[in-house]
Amino acid sequence: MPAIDPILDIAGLHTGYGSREAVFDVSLSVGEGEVVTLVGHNGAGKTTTLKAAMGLLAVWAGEIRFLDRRITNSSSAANVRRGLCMLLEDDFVFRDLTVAENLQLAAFTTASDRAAEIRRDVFELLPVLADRRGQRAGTMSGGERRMLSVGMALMSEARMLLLDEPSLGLAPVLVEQVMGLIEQLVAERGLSVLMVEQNVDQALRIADRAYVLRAGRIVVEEDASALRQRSQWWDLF
Amino acid sequence: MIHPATAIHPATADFGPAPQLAFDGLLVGSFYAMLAVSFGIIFSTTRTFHFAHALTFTVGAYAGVVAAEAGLPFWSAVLLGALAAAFFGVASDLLVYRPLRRRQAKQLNIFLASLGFLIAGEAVVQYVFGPNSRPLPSVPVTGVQFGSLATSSLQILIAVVSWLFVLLVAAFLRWSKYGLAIRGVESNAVLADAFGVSRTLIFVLVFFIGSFLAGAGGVLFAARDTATPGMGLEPLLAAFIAVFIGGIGSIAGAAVGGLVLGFAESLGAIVLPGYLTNIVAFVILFLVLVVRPRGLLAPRTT
Repeated sequence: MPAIDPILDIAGLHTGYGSREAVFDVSLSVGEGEVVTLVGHNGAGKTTTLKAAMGLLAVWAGEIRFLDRRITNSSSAANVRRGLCMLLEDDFVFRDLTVAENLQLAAFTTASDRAAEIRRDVFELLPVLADRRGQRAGTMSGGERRMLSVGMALMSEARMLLLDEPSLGLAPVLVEQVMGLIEQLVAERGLSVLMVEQNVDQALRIADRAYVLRAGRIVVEEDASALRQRSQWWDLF
Repeated sequence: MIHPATAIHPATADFGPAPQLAFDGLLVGSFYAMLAVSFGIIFSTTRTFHFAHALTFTVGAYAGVVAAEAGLPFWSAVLLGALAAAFFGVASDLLVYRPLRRRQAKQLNIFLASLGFLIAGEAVVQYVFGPNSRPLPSVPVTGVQFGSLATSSLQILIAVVSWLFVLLVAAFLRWSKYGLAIRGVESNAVLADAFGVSRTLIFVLVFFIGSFLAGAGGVLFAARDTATPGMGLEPLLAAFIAVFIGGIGSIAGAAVGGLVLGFAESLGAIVLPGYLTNIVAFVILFLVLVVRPRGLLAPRTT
């Protein structure tokens, strides 16, 4: 268990698609300012767990609490207002909209004067977005789009990020950049992160703790450093 | 051979009937442009093949006729017809399409439901208002002459109102917060959801806007022509052909598609007998689909 109070607490989650259950009795928690990663094979239920937490997928049983309030099955709109933000695995930006419009839309639930303030801040943190503000997001490179998606998360005034495969499809140098940015946000702004990653090495490098999911069930919970030191951690999968 | 069109429109010195036909095409194309935008904004955002949009058009027209028969002035009748259509459109989304989407119904099933809704709706309109055509009373119409080009004040008015609505919708989509949200849902509905843009609300909004335009169009159409229970089908076909010519997801495309269609139908009369001009629309649609399947002005997506 985290030493600090959990900001997100998932208890006994059951969910799935249609009539097919994909996640069985998953319990996990993320502390304030903590980076937790969820690793496992394709189809282990990682993304499904994130979606249920965000309100993008119905919870069949179990409870989800965020900032000490029960948010089980509340709408994603309500969760965004509470400070939860999920960056999707693919299609994580609005490709037909410009960079500026992407940021503006990400601030849909934020007051407009506050949004202008955060936008200046985002442009300072990610100057590439300021340079490209008039460009259509669909014409940017994968790495730039990832940066944009992080900028969008900030625009929504998120206190906690649910990241689905933030390194997917990126060149190694860009993966470093994205992970570095996430680390920076955690250190400087106290954001909390629950991250699903195939790139286990990278994920364990910046994570405090890790959960291993197998076939919809959590099989291991461990400190990231301890997990990293296992010589054969991949056997756990 | 003397073409019928030449008999209707007295030939000018050099160009024959072409200028008059082009002018007619511009006027009718403007109306098509508005209808195309009204159908296009619903289709491109919700991906619902809303065939019953034809019924919305009819409902707007009859609401306008009833209002005018009750003695309301023309503009109030147009506004009331548009509002009645807007609420009708929203209701059809909430009561017909939303339950189907919840069950993850396929496009074809939604289309069939829409078609059934249209047929049933037309029957209800016929039951309530009778099968005969109902004119919109007391619409002042005068002849208008621009040099050799002739039309009526009502035709000019319909064209102007059409462009006004097209521009208003375009400005709303371009500059307003909810316009941006509509474009966001169109671009990536799941992501919009993840950022707190309620899809239900956005769908209601586009059904309201699209149906409002269709209803206004219905009243204007009834003023120029008459209201009949089956009046909506032909305008709907024109609208959806225009949307596919122009490209789904583009307001400018829908408007241009409407204009192209208007010009083509009208100018087609130069080379084709009157009863064949309806074919022109489908020929153009076919050519566009073969040469440029995404439509003339569809947004480029990488």
